[in-house]
Amino acid sequence: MARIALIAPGRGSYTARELGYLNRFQGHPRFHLRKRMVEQADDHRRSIGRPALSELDGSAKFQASKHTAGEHASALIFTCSAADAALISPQHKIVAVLGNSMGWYSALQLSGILSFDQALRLADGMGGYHGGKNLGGQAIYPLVDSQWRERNGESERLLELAQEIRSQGRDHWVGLSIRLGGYLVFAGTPLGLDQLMKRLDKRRLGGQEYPLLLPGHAAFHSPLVEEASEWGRSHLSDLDWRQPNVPAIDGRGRVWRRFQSHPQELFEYTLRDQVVAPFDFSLSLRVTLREFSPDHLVLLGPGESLGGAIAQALIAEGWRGIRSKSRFKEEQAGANPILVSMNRPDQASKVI
Amino acid sequence: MAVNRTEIVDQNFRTRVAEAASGFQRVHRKTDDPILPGCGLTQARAVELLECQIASRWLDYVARELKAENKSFYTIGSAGHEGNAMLGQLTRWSDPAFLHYRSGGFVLARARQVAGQTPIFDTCLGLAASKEDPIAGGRHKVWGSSQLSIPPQTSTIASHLPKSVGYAFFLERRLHLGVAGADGIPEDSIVVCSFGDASVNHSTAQGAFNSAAWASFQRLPLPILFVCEDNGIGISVDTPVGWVERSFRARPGIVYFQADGLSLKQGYAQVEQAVDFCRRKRCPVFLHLRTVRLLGHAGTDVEQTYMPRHRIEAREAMDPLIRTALELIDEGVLSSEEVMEIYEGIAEQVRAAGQEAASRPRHESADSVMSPLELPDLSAVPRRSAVDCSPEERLRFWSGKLPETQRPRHMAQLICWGLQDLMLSDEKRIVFGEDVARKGGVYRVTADLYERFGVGRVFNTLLDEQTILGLAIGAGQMGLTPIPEIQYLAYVYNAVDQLRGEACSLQFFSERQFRNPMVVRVAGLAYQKGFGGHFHNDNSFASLREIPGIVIVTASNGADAVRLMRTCVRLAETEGTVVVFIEPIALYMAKHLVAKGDWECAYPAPHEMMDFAEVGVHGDPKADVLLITYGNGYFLSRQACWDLLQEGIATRILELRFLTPLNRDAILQEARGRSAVVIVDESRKTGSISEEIAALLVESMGARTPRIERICGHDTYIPLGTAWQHVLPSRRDIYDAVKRCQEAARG
Repeated sequence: MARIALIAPGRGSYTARELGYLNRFQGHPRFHLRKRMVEQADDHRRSIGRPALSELDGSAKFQASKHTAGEHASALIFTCSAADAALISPQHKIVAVLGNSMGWYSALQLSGILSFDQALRLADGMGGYHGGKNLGGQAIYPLVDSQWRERNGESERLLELAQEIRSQGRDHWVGLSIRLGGYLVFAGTPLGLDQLMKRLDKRRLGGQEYPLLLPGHAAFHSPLVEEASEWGRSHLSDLDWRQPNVPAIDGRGRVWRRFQSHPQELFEYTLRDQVVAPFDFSLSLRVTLREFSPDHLVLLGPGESLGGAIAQALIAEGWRGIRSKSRFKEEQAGANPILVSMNRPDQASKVI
Repeated sequence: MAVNRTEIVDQNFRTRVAEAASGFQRVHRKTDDPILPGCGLTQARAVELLECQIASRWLDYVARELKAENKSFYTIGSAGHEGNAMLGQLTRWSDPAFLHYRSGGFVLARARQVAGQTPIFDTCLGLAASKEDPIAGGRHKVWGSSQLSIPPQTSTIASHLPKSVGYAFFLERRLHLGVAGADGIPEDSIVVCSFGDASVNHSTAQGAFNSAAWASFQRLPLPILFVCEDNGIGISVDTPVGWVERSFRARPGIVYFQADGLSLKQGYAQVEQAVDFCRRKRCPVFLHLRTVRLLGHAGTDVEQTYMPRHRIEAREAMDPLIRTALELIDEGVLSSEEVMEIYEGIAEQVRAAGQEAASRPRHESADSVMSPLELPDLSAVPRRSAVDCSPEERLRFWSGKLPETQRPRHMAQLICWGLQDLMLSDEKRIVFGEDVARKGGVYRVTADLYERFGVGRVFNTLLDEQTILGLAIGAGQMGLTPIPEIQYLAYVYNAVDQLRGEACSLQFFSERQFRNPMVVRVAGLAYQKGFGGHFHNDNSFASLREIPGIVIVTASNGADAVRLMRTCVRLAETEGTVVVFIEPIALYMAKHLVAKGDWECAYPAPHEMMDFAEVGVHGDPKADVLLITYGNGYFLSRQACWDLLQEGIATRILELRFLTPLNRDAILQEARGRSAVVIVDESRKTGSISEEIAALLVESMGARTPRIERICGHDTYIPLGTAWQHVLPSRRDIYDAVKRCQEAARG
């Protein structure tokens, strides 16, 4: 029996490589649970006039404009995560669940706070909401060096720069959106982001050049999406918030616990606070490690792009003596890797 | 073979919870439905308390498990005191809390109020003495958190009570000073201060209760919640039954509440009332919280050696953890199975956290241990004068007669003016002590301050030095700059632990997250003519010198005193330093060195500050003999050297103004190439800085060490009348010493 924490990824985790993800693990004895979830999701999608997930996931070709669009990507990612979690062996104990950004909606389902149907409605609704307007965008920039250790004062420096740009006026709004391990994600208006992109030094990390604009993303976790919050509060006011079966850790590092989670507070946090204020994934992972000390962190699908951020958060914590990228890789290469990615069959086999 | 009481206490819980299984009937409630009539204990709050109590208990168990594996170093636990979680829940995270060492439940419950907290792991880091412990850096296992408004305490002797009173006093006083909200502490905050029943007997505690009552009695607001966690025993000594209640139930100025800390049902409403009363009425409240001590005083304390088994078992039967669990089962909140699920889950959590924490790095060098004690980067201390108000404002304040335009005056007058300029420049600076207000101090050094700045900033305290220093700590932590006065140096010593064990140690045990800025003015040293006796002429400050992190200064003339005072205030404000300024009483009114009025000084212009560690030099740079001295010794040395100069003998004098730390470089630089060094130290020969200076010279200069003569006070108390002249260095002694050195050099 291992004590595990489930981590649900956010937007951007479903890429071309993930096409067909929902059909993975076909030989698994609990595959029927996965299948049932997909069917439920498909029913919901059809009921609101959107293409079924099995259809999207089963496409012959990945179309970025389609697969990464909010109205499709959120539901796809949510369902992939839930479908992965359904395979976790009951011999393991889930001690905590958390997610990055829209992964919070997944965490609500994983913890039992919302049923699958309701959480899907939430993810699909909030992810797909644009209100016909441009709700800004997101850009990402690294804080860490090549060994994934945070460079001194980098975070403060970047936030000061954002503040400086912001002071130029409302149309130049740019600010922190997500603390994502070794990265900061910024949200902003087109003008604000444009300034930010120009003023940040170009940096290469892991073969990628930064700063990087995140395609198809709105200015999540910032006041720029206030309208989405309002939409959610009026259209999703009937969600049935239940007590979590396992602790859920939100984007402020707050732990929602059984018998102690007030529905109204869950509603306020999910549909207002975390929508319009920064999401601190790094802190939520820190709380998971320090308060629950799981044996493994299980990164649910789709993909595993969140793995780097998780590793960087582990390095920041020095967890299990991991204080550099190379040390993390050594740990992962061992028999008992701390990070188990469902995207990797060899690792997934340890927990399903 | 010794019985393992930990296993028994653990098993008792399991057994009693299992026995309750059959009586459980779920009562369906919403999370915020009350489970008790007439108080705020909701279902969510009750379960939270149970979880915090269980986590606290498992921290105790795991501390002992890790100790057995040589992975942790501290086993004083909270077992039996977990009821204090009610206080952690019912006070606000922003209420400053000064906690004693059985406060696991309190801290865990308070941490629930702030997102992102990790108290379980943080506590384990403390147990394991890891330098990653976020509050004390592994220097002591403390309950503390800057994010939860819990300054860490190491006290086992109730020495945290006086400063708690000080904090509560200034919590209110700051509102009158117009600095409300400067530190983000809400106006209606209260101070929480907890201690055990045995600790109430400490004179430190009694002094604090008295001060709180003294203030409250005259209707000064003092919102402090004293929490006496009464487990009936101190180590192995029983507290007489009824002693605490009888002592505090009818104490004037303090309102007594009693609550059962062993039961949510019996205690929650009372704790809630006590907290609410203190917050609303802004007066001292004594909450007498019933607890029980389980598992001995610490892991090393075998209760069986002094307590019969039936008493140990009777205490174990009172276990508040069992009580809380049974009450929740009884109220239909949780089933036995659910309780055990929580219990086992937390056990796993804490054990896993303990193992991870035990692998974290510890200190491996003295530098690492001592890093919080490092003196500030002196070049970084702003050169901006502590007197920096606008010229127009100053001119107005001084009614057109600026002190720097006045004729030279003696030191007492110059310090007085200096204090006024400092007070004028920043409203956060405050002066208090015995007789400092209308009377203006025994030596009139604080004359006019009360009239010019009002009772809010200049006030008399009761006659208790411990309270004065406790107030100073409280003021400093509230963002003020306290400049307290201790009337005489000898009086410092009945309160020295407020400096030694509290003010100066806080930066060490909090990794500088909490500081106690203050400039303590002390009238001291000897040589008073016509006002004799030990208490008014104490010439020893050895007990202060040994305190890590402290800065001790003195001056021999008015101009230096003013410049130095400005530096000290700036040092306290920018670096959080505890500074003791010893003002030589005998020089307060000194006017003449060798000619009429030649020891009076002009008032230094507002921009003039003394450099940190600055020394004074006088005389011939090429002289054979160097005198190193300070305070009265400098005055006498100047006289003796004048005498010598009349005979054509040149000397050099190095005046120390910073007594701790010494400016070692300056001493060595001046001593180099001399044939002799005469150290004139008016303190007692044993324990005086003359020892340190002599050791420094010998250790650093080896074979090139000049001849050293120490002219010191004798190892005695200062006697009455004229007898003091026989035991303190004199002008003649210094003269003779220099002559001896010269003869030795010739011979």
